[in-house]
Amino acid sequence: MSNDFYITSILPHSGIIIKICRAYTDSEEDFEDFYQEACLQIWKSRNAFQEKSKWSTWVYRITLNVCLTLNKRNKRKHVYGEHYSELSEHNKAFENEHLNLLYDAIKQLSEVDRAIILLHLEENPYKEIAVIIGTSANNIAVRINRIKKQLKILLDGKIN
Amino acid sequence: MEKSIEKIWNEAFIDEQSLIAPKINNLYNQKSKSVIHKIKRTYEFDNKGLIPIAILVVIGAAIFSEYFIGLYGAFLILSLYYFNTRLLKKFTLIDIKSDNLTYLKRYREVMNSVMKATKRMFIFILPLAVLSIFILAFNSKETSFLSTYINPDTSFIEILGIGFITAIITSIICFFSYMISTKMLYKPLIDKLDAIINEMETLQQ
Repeated sequence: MSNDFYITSILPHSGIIIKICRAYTDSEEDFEDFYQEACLQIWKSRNAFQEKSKWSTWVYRITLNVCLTLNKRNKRKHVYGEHYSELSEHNKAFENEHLNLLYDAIKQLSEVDRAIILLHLEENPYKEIAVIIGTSANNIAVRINRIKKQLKILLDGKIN
Repeated sequence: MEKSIEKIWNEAFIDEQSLIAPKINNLYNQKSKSVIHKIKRTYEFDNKGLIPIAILVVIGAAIFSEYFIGLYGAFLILSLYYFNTRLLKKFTLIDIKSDNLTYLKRYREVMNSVMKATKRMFIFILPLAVLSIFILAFNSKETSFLSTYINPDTSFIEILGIGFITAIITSIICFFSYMISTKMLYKPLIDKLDAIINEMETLQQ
């Protein structure tokens, strides 16, 4: 992967890649692996991008696919490393207690629901989420409502 | 819960630019480690599997009172185990201090030479071992269970002929067994290793 490609095409979207990878991993080591694999797959699939959607949508989609695939592989191996305590050293945002509680709750959702809520939190319109997930916008709207209710129950009493 | 999840999210990531991305380095370290580990494990499993087979051969032969042939068969299988162990030692000679790509390429070369040696052994040495069992059975035909199948008038040349034909058939069976077992056990790993090497070479260009 060329440095130019990374700087111009991936780095501007690294925020969403980090956020998604964070929701699918339990350790710093896994997080770095997922992030690197996502970047690599984005680079490898760059020629398949047909500009029918936004580049950012493409990045979301590839990152989600990588996370879902690696997550399945990790589950099969039952390998879970140390917890996420050290990630905050690199990213101040993850020192936020409320955010960590929210992430913990998100991790309790199914893999697809996790993807949907992450895309929703990133303010993607239902139509775009539907394209990424491969369903209808109506279905996404219904699911987001349901997921939010579920998250509310999970977070109830924990966040004031 | 008073705060909405959107508010928690937006407040935490108010300055998204401050998110620090992990460094893209040693991209293939983990992948390489994983595939090499799997190959090593498969080779060890494959080789160590010969020990119980040798024991089973002794037990099986003992049931038919073929102690000598049983022990000889076990000796041949254990020789195969020893031969394989020596071949696998080639992997330990690869310089682990070399960079990732060089290490993987060298590993692939050693794998090729191990596979070639194993193939040769399957096609030539194993049939010869089978032939030697025939010769042994002929020489101990007075006491051997196999003697019921060997006519007392059968000459050594005739036995050698039958043994030779059996050895050729064994060679063909061994060739196909080798191809099938390699395809089943090692092909997916070899493909993965080749893919990593290709990707790394492309990345370096």
